[in-house]
Amino acid sequence: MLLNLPEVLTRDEVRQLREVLAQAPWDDGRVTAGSQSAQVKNNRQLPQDHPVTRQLQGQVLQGLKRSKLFFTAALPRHVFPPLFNRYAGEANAFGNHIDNAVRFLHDGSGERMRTDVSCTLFLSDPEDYDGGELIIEDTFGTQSVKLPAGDMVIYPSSSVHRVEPVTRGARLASFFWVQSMVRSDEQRRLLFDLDMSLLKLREEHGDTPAVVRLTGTYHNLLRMWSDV
Amino acid sequence: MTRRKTSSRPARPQAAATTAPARKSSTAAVLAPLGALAAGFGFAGLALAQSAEPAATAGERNLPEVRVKGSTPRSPGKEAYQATTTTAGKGKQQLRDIPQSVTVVNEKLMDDKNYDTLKSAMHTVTGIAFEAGEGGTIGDLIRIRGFSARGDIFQDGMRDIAQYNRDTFNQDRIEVLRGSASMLYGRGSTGGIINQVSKQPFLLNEHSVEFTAGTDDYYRLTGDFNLKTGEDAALRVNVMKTDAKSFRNGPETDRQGIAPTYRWGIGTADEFSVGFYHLSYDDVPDFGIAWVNGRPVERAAERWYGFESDYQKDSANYGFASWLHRFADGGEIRTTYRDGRYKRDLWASTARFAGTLSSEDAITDSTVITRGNQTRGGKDRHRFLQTDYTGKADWFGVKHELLAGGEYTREDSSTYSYTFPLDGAGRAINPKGNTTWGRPGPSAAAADTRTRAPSNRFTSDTLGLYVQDMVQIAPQWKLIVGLRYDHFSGDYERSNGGPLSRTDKMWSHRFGALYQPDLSSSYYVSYGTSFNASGDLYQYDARTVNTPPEKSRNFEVGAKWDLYDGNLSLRTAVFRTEKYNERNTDAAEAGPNNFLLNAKRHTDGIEFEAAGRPLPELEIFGGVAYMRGNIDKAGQNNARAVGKDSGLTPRWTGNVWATYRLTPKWRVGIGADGMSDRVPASGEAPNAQGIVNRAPGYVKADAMVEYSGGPYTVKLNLLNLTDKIYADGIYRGHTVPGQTRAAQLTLAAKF
Repeated sequence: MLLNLPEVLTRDEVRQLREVLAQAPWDDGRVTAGSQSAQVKNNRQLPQDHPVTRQLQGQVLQGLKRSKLFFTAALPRHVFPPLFNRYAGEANAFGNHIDNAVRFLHDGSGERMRTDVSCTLFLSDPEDYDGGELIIEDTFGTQSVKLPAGDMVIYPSSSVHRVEPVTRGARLASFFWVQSMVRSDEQRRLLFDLDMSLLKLREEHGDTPAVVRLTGTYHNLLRMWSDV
Repeated sequence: MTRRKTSSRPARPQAAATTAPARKSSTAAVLAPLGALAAGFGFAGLALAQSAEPAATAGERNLPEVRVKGSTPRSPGKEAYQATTTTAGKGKQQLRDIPQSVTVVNEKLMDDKNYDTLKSAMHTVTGIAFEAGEGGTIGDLIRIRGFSARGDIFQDGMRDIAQYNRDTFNQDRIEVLRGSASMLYGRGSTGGIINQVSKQPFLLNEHSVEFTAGTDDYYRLTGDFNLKTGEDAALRVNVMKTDAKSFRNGPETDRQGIAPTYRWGIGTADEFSVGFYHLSYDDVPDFGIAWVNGRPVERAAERWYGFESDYQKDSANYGFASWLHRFADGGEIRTTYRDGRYKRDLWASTARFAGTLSSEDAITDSTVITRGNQTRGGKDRHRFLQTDYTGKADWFGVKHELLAGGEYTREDSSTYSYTFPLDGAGRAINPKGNTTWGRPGPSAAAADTRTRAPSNRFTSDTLGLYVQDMVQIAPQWKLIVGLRYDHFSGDYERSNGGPLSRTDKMWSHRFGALYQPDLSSSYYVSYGTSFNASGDLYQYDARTVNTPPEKSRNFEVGAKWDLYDGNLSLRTAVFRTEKYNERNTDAAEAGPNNFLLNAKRHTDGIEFEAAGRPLPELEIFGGVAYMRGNIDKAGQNNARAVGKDSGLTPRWTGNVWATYRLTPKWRVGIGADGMSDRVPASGEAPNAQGIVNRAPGYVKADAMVEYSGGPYTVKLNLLNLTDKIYADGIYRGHTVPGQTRAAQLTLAAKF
């Protein structure tokens, strides 16, 4: 399931983030890549443990916390601390790859999480750069995504994706992964569709007995499929 | 494999196509997706803990809600007492972005409390008091912060100035914006404005019918029919029939209304609506009873001394066409044309005591009651062409929220009066004879000996242009600057005396600063001006026509908070509303040809209001205001009023209403409203007997119990539980008692 979440960050928040990112200590992007991705990855990235990164992570998480759509679509169990990348100049592209299935958390705990959902939060406006589309090949075909700053796309981590070369300007983004309570993308999608339909029914008709029963169905499916 | 290329436009792929971001809506604030509730609490303890959570608590409220595209929401006001947006400031705005006091009375509150008239709904707004009319003005006479709002009632942002008693059957909500607002609305608005908002068609088939029967032979039937007629078109028809007697033996109301509206292009770039509104009634009006020794006569609460022939027959009919264009950048421009015709016709009786009574106790069955005539008529035609634009801009890296618009208005009003045959001494023969206290109830019809006098006709043209910019000067700071120009010219054709005309060109201002440290709080200071042109209520005489407009200003400091995840809105404001050059007659200086603008009065006050749902089962609406109205300066003729409390400015006004859902099907509600003592307008100084008429304060309580089973609802309302006797409307000559204890049973069906 590919889903665009509009305005995860406000314009003000994006502007503040970009002010910090303009001064940030960019590193070679290959440090977070697996061995296959490392061959196709050519971008810049913020070091995971840097205090600036921590500060920015907090700001992104704050935006995420507000997004009901994010929770309901991703059903997150764990959210990987957001990372930040920059595509510009020579370091301008990331070829086809699949995200690592399991990641270590850099918090000293040695814990691991599975990546079910990939998230890209755009921090540059489309008119500020050429190229840089996020191309995702999911079960419904190939899609090209380039969103306004502050918007976020989420898609299954199992899909092959790439970032087209940036030919003008700079593309700043935050990216991270979610381990979902519901491992299967298909099941998450069903739950999401059911949830949205229920929301509509509740808005239009209130909590009628049928809606209450359907709500029960949602929760029972979640109980059946989730892993918490 | 296909490949869809997205350019600079945001991609809205797959599932995204079925969802759209919603601006805040109170419905959605209550409803959240199930998954968000299930997943929300487990969110990223890991990541958050690790990231030391800088400022992660700010802005958790006012979540960007999810709305499914195509579900054009029904009026959110049907669902909740709390409102988060308003059109009281022209265009659609967040309440938190308006640096003035705003109260929104939603349809749900009106339904729960059986508010069937504008006046009854205003009992739930702080800072309001009610004037009782005499023949000169009839219809809704509401004072805001002690200043008359007679000409400040609006319907969908356009003036609704005709004199009639407004019904709520087609109102989605009623918004009260307090303080000077000429920058937005043109002439008038010293104490504030009342904007009624019509029910809008929406994209669902949903109908409801309600029938209410109550004590005092109260019967009211309303129907609300909404039919989706196409992909983006709908028709909504509201109808109403009310036939009721009064707790006083005599007055009654018999009224009906219909309001069809057709709207198409709903939610698209170009949205249109056309509609019609009709309200008419044939009432026996209640002109109360005289004061005795400065107090309302409590024992008269259920006694009436009018005639069977008394009547008030008024009607309001208007048609409108509206075009709303939405720009790709989120801006909106709405243009509306409305053409309305209004008629009024009154022949009522006023009851007075023949002699001077020392107190109510001095009244006996043989006490003589004289009855005066109140007889007036008129017809108005009001045409408006109004355009309002709201939009956002990013100029020089600074965010601007713009509001601009203009109106062209032609108001045409004819007023009649009546004469009676004269006796030998040249005095009018009153066809309404005396009666005594012991013989209440309607007397047999009085002979109609009236002759209609030639009318006075007032015609005015208004051209108004305004622009307002709200600038985001820093992340948490907004500045508002607004300016309006009005060109108001009126012509008066008099039946006696020659024609009169006058033109006023006025500038109105509005300044404000908003500090919004997070999404749940907003603090503001504001300053606004307003003006009252001499002809703004359709009257000129030799003096007013030579008198420039009165001016007023409003200073306000306030705060608005959203608590409990945005489910409860609180607000408070401290204000000074000041009319600093009021017209007055001053025998020594003003002369026969003009008024002086040297009088002054002001009202200081503080208000608190709350609306929302602090608990899932509990919904509340309420507020309290403390005001001090004072007459600072007056002309010689009214010098005794200086230093006195302004009329109809009760120091305390308050109301509270709470409903609790006991079970999914049962809901109960209880509340109270009231105000402290007050004197009538223009009656601040002692009368000839050295007495100041003063109506005592009161608190009355109401309750409700409701059972909803599927599409059917049964509701019992109890009004004035303690049977408190109080003066509702007051006037220099009389007081009109408020509703005594009553019960109303409502059956409603949705289908």
